[in-house]
Amino acid sequence: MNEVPSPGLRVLVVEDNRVMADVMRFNFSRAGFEVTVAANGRAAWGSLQDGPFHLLVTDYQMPEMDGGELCRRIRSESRFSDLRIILLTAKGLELNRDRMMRDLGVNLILHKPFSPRQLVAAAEELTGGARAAARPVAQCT
Amino acid sequence: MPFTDSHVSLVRRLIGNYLMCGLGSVVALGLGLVLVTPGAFGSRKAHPFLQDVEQTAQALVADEVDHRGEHRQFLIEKLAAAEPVVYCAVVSAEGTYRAHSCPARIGEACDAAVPTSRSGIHRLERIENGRHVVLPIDEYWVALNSGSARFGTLLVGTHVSRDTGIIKSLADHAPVVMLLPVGILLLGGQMLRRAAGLSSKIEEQLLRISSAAPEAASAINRLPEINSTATGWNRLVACVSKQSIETALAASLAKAVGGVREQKAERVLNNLSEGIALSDHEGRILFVNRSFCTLMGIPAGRAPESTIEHLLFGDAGPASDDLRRQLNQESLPVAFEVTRGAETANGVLRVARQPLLEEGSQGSTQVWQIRDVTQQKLAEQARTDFVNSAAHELRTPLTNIKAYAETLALNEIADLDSQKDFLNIINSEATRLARFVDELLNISSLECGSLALNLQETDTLRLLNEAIEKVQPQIQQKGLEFLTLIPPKLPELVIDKDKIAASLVNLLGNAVKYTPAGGKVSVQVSVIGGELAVSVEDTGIGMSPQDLSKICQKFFRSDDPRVRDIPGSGIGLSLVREVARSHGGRLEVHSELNKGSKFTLLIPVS
Repeated sequence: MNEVPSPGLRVLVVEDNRVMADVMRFNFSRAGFEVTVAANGRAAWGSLQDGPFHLLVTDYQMPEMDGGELCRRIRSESRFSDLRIILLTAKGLELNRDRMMRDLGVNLILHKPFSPRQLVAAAEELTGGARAAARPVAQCT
Repeated sequence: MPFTDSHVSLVRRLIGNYLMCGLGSVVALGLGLVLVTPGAFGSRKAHPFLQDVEQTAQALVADEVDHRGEHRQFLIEKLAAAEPVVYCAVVSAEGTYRAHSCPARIGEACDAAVPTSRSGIHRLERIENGRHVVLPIDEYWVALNSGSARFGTLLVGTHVSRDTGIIKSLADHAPVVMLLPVGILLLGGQMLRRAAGLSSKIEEQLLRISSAAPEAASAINRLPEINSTATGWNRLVACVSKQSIETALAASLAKAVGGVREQKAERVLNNLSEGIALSDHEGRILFVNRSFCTLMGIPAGRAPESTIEHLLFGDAGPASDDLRRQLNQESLPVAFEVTRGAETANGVLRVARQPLLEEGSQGSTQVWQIRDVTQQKLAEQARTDFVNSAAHELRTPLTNIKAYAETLALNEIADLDSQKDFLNIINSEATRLARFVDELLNISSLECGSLALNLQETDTLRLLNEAIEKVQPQIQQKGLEFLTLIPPKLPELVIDKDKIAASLVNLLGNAVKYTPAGGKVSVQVSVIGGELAVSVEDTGIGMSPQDLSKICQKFFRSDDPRVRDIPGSGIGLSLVREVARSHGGRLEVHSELNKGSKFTLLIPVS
């Protein structure tokens, strides 16, 4: 995690379990992401209106609006077409992974328990293009 | 008709009988002829004097023609000299003597009979004193013809010869002798008729049987028992009719039994829990049992007009093309499930269709079996939900532990406080995980009754105080008002101390968790009607009636965000309820959303 911080990369973490959300915030921040945390889908949807995000990391099972509905809503609007989505789920084999990725327009699905390092690595890979674009801006500032 | 041995035998017998009769007749006829012929003519050949008679007759004719009877007397006397002649004469056609010898004898003879024109031998009889007296004289009459005209008869009287007498007496019986063969023939014919008649009657019946259809009952008649063949035939008839009576009896018995069996089968079908229906190749319903009607929600008793597929799927038809295709293949069995409505709870039917193989039926009759698998499906669903929820609940603390541990391990965290925070989180998550596993094991053991309660006499007051002590830190941390109303003296309880304690902690913990800061939690204990009642009341967030009905379901957690913000597995209350139940008690809940909840654990005292 010796990456140069890229202040332009914004990640929205949507997680109802505060303990989990904290550790994700810690790891993403360390990797140079600008982290925003939302407790559920509805809160996340509000955060998305406030500013552009490069990456959305969301839990699947949440009260009020779950990860699935959030993803569908995001994919139904073209302005979020560049937003990368990582879905975290504690559900196991009962989910059809490929179908879910297709239906929800998700870029990656990680099963709980997952490795934070893996999550950050995947996030960096998914936002690689965005990082390249963001870096000159970072260098300019 | 094939020519069999019996036919040969019959023919042989017929021919044999006929030949025997015929032969007998011929023998009898021959015998009669042999007897009669000498009777009529044999005497001439037997006695040489007959030649003399012949010659005399010829001479008389010649004399009559040539000399008008001049030598008539001479010829007669010459003949009279011959042995055994007694007398002789020529009598005219009118009956007058033209010539004669020994008139005395003639006179005697003439008293007996008047000669007629017939030639032959005559035994002379005379009536004396009213009686027939046979004279010891045979009289030969020979017609004398000149050209075609008869001019007289030559009478020759002789002593009766012994042979001639016998022959004569036999000849007298000639009609009898002649009638004998006729009689034999008639008798033979009669016998033949009877023998052949019997055979033909039998044959006639056999022909009738053979020409009738195999299954048709053709009557076989008894025959008059005139001989052993008829007796045999009658025995055969008796045997066959006995057999056919038995067969008919067996058939009617089977029919009666079959009827009973059919009734039984229908009763069995009607008492099956499984719905059974029969449909023809066009889908029309031929039969439904009672369960079918119940499952389909149609009036029982008669087959509905619509098709089974319509009953199952409504106007829309089968849900999938695949099922539609399968249903169209009538020769193959199909099995599928139909949900009667949007959810499993509305009812799930498992349907199996199988062609009924019947000989000679056109198209296929289909047997439908329909079973209500709603409860099974719900149980399956509950089990799946349980496993999924349990897995989810296990993964949540595990995910946290892994995330924090890895973060600690892979990052250089200089700040000791941060490190300690991380480790504390790992510790509490691990504790939560361990408790959850315990609860899970407990509840599944309690549910299936395999967990024996460790019952022991317990100081109730002490138990309550210990439980309260465990939640005191949280109460203080949240700044809640805490009240207890506990009688100073409580009966001892024989309970599983650890499980009851855990249940009390659970109820107290919930009250503390779901009551916002500044709220109030109170514990009230009383003994009413042989039950110890421990009430835990709070002024917390409360529950909606919908949630209230589900709180004792395993893993149920309200969607209320105030609940979601607080860690919980959704298993605690179901565990409390199971513990209460295993002690013969119960858990009562009253709650109002945004006002608070009251949980009362009731345990029998005895």
